[in-house]
Amino acid sequence: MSERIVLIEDDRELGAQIVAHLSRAGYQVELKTEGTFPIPADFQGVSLVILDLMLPGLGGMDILKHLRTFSDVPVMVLSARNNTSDKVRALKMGSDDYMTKPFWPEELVERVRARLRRPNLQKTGPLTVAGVCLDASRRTATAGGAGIELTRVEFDILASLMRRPGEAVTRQWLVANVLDPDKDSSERTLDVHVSHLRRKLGKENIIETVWGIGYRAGKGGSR
Amino acid sequence: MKLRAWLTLATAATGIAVFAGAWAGFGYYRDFTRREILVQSTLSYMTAESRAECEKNAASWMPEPARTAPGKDWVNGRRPPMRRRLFAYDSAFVSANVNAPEIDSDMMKAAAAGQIAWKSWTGVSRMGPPWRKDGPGGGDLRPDLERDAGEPGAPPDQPLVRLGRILVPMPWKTGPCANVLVEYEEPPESAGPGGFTPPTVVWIIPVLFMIIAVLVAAGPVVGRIRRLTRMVRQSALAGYEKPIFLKGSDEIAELGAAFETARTEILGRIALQERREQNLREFLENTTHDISIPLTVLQGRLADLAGDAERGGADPDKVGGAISEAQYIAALIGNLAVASRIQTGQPEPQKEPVDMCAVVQRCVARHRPIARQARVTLEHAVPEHVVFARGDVTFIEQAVNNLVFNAIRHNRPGGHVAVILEEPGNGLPMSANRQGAVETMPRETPPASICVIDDGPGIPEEELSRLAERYYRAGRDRGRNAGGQGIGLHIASTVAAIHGWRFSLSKSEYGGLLARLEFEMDGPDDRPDDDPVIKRDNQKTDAGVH
Repeated sequence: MSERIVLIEDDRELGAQIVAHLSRAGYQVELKTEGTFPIPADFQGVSLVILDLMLPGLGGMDILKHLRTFSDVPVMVLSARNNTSDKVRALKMGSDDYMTKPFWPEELVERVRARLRRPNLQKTGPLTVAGVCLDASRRTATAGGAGIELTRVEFDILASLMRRPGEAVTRQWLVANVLDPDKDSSERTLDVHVSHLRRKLGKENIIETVWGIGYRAGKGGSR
Repeated sequence: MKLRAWLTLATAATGIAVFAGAWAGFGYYRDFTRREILVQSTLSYMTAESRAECEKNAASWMPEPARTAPGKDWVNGRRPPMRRRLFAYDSAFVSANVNAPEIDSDMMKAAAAGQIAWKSWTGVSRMGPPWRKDGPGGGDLRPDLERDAGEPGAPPDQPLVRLGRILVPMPWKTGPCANVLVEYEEPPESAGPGGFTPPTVVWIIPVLFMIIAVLVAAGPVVGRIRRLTRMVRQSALAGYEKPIFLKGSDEIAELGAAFETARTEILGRIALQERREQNLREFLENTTHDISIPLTVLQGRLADLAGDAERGGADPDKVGGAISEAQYIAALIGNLAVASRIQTGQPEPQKEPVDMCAVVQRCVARHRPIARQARVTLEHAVPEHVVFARGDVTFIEQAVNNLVFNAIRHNRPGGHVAVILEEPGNGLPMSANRQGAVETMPRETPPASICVIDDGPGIPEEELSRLAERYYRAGRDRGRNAGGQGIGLHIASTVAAIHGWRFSLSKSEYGGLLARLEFEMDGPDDRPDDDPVIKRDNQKTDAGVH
């Protein structure tokens, strides 16, 4: 079942557009075009509230204030006023994010997705990205179900990347935190280790080179 | 110069000048009176008793009429009498007495015209014995005709005296005594007015009295002026809110009233200016707000069109161009609002904890659609745990937005842009060429940084140093699409300066631009209300690797 989002936005055209884009992204969106006093029944089972600040009737800040008396649902504030004091006030009143207009629908969808993303529970157990599985406690790795032999450095590089799937990690960080400082620890050495790693992963190669940054395990959000 | 010092000097100068004038006038009057007395007494002396003797013994006639009795000298207490002696001359101004001095031609001409001719000078006594300081010398008052002023044998310590001659024509006008020359001398002690410097005590005491009187009189005046000065300064320090009022009806009170009028006028102008600025700010805020909503709708429509274009329903280039223009307008609106705040200083920049990872993520998310349209790969990297800085989130976000937008706009299809948030010690991308870097607020150690790197065509070295200048556009012959509005990098630089951070531009190792914003990490403290302004997306709580 798709996640429910309540959108409170007074501009009907913009509201309809946001509803359309979020619906296409797989969310169930309910649009409200007026500021009304929030009641618990309206927010039961809601995963996220997208709240415009300037509303006819009850203002966005007041809705947020009353909402927080009975619900911890994540709230993303939308406003056409790029005002620091509004952002600070909204945050202190319990909002979770702030987004200023104008924005691209894709940006909104990405932010909503990030806000609703489930916490990564893999950190304490085995790490899995695509067909690669890594057990940090046993220091074993499998690619496509078959075990692969990794050196200490290769294992640590892969573990560092897989702990944050889809996120880029800089070469400098990997050099400083993974490579052995007593041996040759240059970016070129790192590249050699990654090259060996890719070869060992074979068809299950999940390591992407990220231009200007370093490496990433899995697909990034930029394409 | 202070007023008291000025008054003292002015009084001393005026007092000395007035006294010198009075002294000179008094001397002239005394000389005039003396001449009159000598002329009248000589006429009386000749007419009453000495004409016959003069004509009888013309060759030896050289009397010294009785001197005036000693009188009081107003300076030295005792005034010694004046000495005189007479010489006779005929109508041709020739004397039978060989001791008679030769008469000047000027005196002769005046006497021939029936006028009293005279002259005076300062010199050694001709009548000796010499004058003494306590009065005319000894009992022997006979003239010493052998000695004259400037005579080589004259004692060097002989005091100077005031000498004078008056040529008096006699009423009978004939004979060897037709003209009588009165030769006189004054004692040195009374030689004040008429050529000598007055004794110090004569002028310094009155002048001192005048100065004291002026200072006493000026005291309250100076006090009031100082009070008025304090009031004006305090009013200026209080933004001209404090009134200026000095009691009284004198000129200083009037000056105070004039200051009060000026203060009211300044206050009025400040209020007017503030109202205008407030109106302008409100206009800008309202305009920004009113444009933002339709622009968001427009961007949504363009996103839909882009979807259609991918399915072949629209021209991708035209849609891409429209998306680029929309993003340009959006960036311009954001920059206008921030530029207005920077320019007016209102509202003041806040100093709140800001999650810099979230800032990077938001800026990247905002520009991903435009990067895709431009066929530029946009990547980013942030540490796994939150990195806080203290500042104004709107300013910081706009600065980073500008750096990212700048890197995408000045790139080429197939190009790359990377946004990296790095903590100290984790290896900043220092391999980039730092030559020609433009920096604001240099610091000794860069604690953390946001770097925006691109592999676009880059900027010529000679233009790097000017990129952060306001309204500077790289490549002046290029249009808007090439150079942008010219305030993006300037705003980034100014925001860095406002926060005390360092901003630098240099050539990246990939040939494009490397923009670096270095900041001090400063997280929320224990205050209950000191929360981070913007929470990071999908914030993780455990500090694992990177």
